[in-house]
Amino acid sequence: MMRFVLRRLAYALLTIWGVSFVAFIIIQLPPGDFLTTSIERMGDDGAVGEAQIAVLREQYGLDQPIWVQYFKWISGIVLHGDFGQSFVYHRPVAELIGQRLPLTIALSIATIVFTWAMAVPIGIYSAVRQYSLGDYAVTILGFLGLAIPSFLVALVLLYVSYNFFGQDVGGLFSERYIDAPWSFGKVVDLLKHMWIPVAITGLAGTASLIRVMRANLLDELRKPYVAAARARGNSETRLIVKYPVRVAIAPLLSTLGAVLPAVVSSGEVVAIVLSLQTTGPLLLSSLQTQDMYLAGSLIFAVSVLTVVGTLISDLMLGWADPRIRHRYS
Amino acid sequence: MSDVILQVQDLQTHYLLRDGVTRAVDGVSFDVRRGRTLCVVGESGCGKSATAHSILQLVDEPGKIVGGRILLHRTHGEQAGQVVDLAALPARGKQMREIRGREIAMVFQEPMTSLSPVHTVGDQVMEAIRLHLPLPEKQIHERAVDLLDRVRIPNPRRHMDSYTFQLSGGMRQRVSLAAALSCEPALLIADEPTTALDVTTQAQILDLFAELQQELDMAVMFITHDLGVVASIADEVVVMYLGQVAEQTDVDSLFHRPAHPYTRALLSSVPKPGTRTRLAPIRGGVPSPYDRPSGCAFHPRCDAMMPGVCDRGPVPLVDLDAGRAARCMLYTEEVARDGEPVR
Amino acid sequence: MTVTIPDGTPPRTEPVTMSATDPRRRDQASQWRLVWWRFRKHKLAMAGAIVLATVYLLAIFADFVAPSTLDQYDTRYTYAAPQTVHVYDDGDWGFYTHPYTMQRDPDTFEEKFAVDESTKIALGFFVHGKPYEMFGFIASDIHLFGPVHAGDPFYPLGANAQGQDVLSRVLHGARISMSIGLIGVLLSLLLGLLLGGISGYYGGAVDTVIQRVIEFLTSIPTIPLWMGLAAAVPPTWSSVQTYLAITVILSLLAWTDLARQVRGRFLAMRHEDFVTASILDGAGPMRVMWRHMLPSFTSHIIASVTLAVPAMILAETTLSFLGLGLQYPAVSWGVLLQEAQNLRAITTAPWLVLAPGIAVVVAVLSFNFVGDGLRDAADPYRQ
Ligand SMILES: Nc1ncnc2c1ncn2[C@@H]1O[C@H](COP(=O)(O)OP(=O)(O)O)[C@@H](O)[C@H]1O
Ligand SMILES: [Mg+2]
Repeated sequence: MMRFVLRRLAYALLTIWGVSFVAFIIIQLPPGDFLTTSIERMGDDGAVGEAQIAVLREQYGLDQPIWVQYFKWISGIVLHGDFGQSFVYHRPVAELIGQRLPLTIALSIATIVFTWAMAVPIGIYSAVRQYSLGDYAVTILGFLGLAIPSFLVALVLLYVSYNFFGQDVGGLFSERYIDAPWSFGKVVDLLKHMWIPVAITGLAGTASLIRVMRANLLDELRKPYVAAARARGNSETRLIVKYPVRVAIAPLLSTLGAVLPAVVSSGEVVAIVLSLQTTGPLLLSSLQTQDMYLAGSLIFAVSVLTVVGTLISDLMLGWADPRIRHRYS
Repeated sequence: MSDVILQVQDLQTHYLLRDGVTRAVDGVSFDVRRGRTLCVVGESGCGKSATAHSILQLVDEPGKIVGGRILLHRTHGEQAGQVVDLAALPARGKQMREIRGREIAMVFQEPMTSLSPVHTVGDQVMEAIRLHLPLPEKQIHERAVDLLDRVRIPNPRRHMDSYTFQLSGGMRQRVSLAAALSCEPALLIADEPTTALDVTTQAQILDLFAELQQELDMAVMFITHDLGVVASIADEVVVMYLGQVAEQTDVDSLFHRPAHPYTRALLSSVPKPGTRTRLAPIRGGVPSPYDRPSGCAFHPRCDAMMPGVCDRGPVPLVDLDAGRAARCMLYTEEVARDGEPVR
Repeated sequence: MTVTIPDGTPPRTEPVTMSATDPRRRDQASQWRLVWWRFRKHKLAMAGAIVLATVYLLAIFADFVAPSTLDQYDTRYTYAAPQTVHVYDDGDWGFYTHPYTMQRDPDTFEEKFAVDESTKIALGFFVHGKPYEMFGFIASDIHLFGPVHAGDPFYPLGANAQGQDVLSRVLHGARISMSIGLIGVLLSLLLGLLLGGISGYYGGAVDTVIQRVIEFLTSIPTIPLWMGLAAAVPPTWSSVQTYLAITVILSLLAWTDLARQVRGRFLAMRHEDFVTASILDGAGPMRVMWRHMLPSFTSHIIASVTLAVPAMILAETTLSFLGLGLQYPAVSWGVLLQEAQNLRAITTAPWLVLAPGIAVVVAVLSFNFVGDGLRDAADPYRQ
């Protein structure tokens, strides 16, 4: 088990290192020296002196080769938690991300929980009652869930709630809590608002997970050990829950690694449409304004979040599946 | 007749498929007695498993028991001494569940897949006890350890917590056997339990079967396609061909005076110890269940085929001496009277 | 030589010459016929295939099929609601619709459209409208369907902020949306075949490295990454350049699935007799891969490619919707949806969302159905 954990940890670190590289490339991508753009922008405010520019050049190592710049950037992050400066907000990127990331995490976790809570029972129902009317309905809904982009659902929902209920579903908090400090009331308020974006974001994931669960379970239901357990006198419900569901869920856990990036992806888009206070809208606006340190760091942060989530799910899988647990011990 | 445990009478189990109906079991009858082993033999696909699954109402969709009776003489519970028709019980009902694992237990062919990969050995051996016997948890555990010991699993206490992927094929089959015997059933059905094992392991498991049967005074219905296995453990034998009983006999007669040409063909297709006769595989293959030959189902492959007789009409199961019977035109009165050689 | 086709179709006799000279081609031919036969039984897949064929035809001939051209606008009809097309019932046959009148809401002073039932706008087939140049060289002003008198308002799916016909824009948008999926997937396929092939054929260290790269790419969320890359496309680039750039960006992250499948097939096949035989014959690795291994699973590849197209279409739509993909004046379904992004537009003109939205969903659904059908047809034994 220890070897398994160490191996997974090493993979995750390697991936994070790769992600940092990609994020840095994205920061460098926009044509021209990004400092020039930002200095122009600062210039609009009228308060940039030659000296200050020189300091910034020095700080980011802009006169040095690209790998030195990368090294400065990454060591700033690792050693001091310094992600650089947002030129639009005039604040440290770390601070801006720190405000938004927790909500992204909360939303992603809630979406995963929602996805599972919906997909597992529906998948079981669909497999146990194969070819029933309900199974067909689930299949059709599954196809639709995979075909409708989540932002479209968000748009339609926006329209429906505005036109028929006269309210705006955007946002994660009621007005009085938006700028309030965290409190029990605020958490409750968040939960009340969260289910809409969570349901929208989780739609596609739920649809695909239902398909996986159904297929897995159908495979398992045909296996002799199910007949053997039935021959011991188990009741149908007990039998299905104790044996095939347990076996069918294990590979489902391993799909978490594939589901998580998708959930984070569509969560960002849904957040943009519903203007939630997560990283999504911030990423979009930073890209639009070419606030590249912010954009690159956001991509970095969101990716690291996904990698860590996948790592955790891998470890959970290792713990849940005795075949893995024992092979590495 | 008091020691008859199970009577199968004219059982019919069909698979209703889109392309037609497969008559997997087509009018099969036999009795299983306490303390005796009935072997069911036949080529693969002749309906042995379908028969076994029918007895426990385990036939998978789209299969269905469409006729016949399966009479169980109950030995346990409130209804001890009574006779129930298993074919008439609802497959998912409480009564059927009480019988499964308690009065009739089953061991399956594939030791690799007939145990759950994510549950421990102990969990699976204790399950039937938990379901059927009102014992405290501690006793259940002790009983399971004792069972593992009886099926010769070394260090049984430690193996209670093992997973099946940590065991060899033979060991797994021992675990399956322990789980099946956990409630001391009156009848044990074993569906080719040794087919997937190597020869040495196979012999050990067969010995174990014989020994435990003696100890527990069980009835055993043992399914196999291996005549060597039949020779070593059978008391009575049912030879099946295409869902029907071709011959019913005791084990000595099976080998010394086989009645049905199919049985003879089966015997000459396997080597006999001590003899050096040439092996003769049976001509042709088992016909597809969709186009079963008219008349005797075996006639296209039969050496004794009588044109105009065997390829017409249904063939009755003819009683011979000493409880033997064969489904063959050679033994019907008309043919016998005409002076054809009989046996 | 006869090839028996299941399903009661009578056995077909093939010309002796062909089967005698090239048995391999005959095998392939019958394999394809089997795939086709199994595909045909899949009703949803057949329906999907017909829908896709129609959509591609409409997209190719959008200039002719659409009632108006892309540069046509009329600010008098900002956010005009969809008109209903009626059929003449009195006497002779024909189509007509009603024009709009403007009404001011007495309370809010908002301008609203109402249908003027007193007059009719005659509609017809092959009418003269705005001139266009199809494929850049076929000049014409004939449109498949539209108002008989050019200039009459015709908005069967409503109008946008500039008073442009949404139906025509959706038809034109199909060109980019439907082609970017195909071209993007072809690019990914190229990458996937190359890297997956190398990975599966050589195995060992090469395989490990490529597998790590694939794992890396699949473990990070694609949309933020796509957003970052797409934002780097200079706004000064032409529509064509942007189109190509976006396609490349999409395929950069989308080849991994195809590569995995190709690798799996190659790994499984590496030790089969016919591969060993051709290696012993002295065929080089490229030749073995392309000539011998690849043809044996072409049908699976086609199925996987079909199933990969919808993700591409959705990705383009999402990026353009966010304003990071293609941009006005280019027209794709994503660009059209972007016009409908703000709440005001949605509440006053929901058709701006619904028309391109339904187009996306129908296209994606059809691709999924066809892909599922192809997969089942290519691999009937897969459970
Ligand atoms: N699930 C099933 N669906 C359709 N036909 C089946 C199924 N299971 C068994 N059969 C048919 O029933 C017949 C008997 O099968 P089985 O009892 O498994 O044979 P045996 O155990 O003697 O090898 C076979 O012809 C087989 O085709
Ligand atoms: Mg069998």
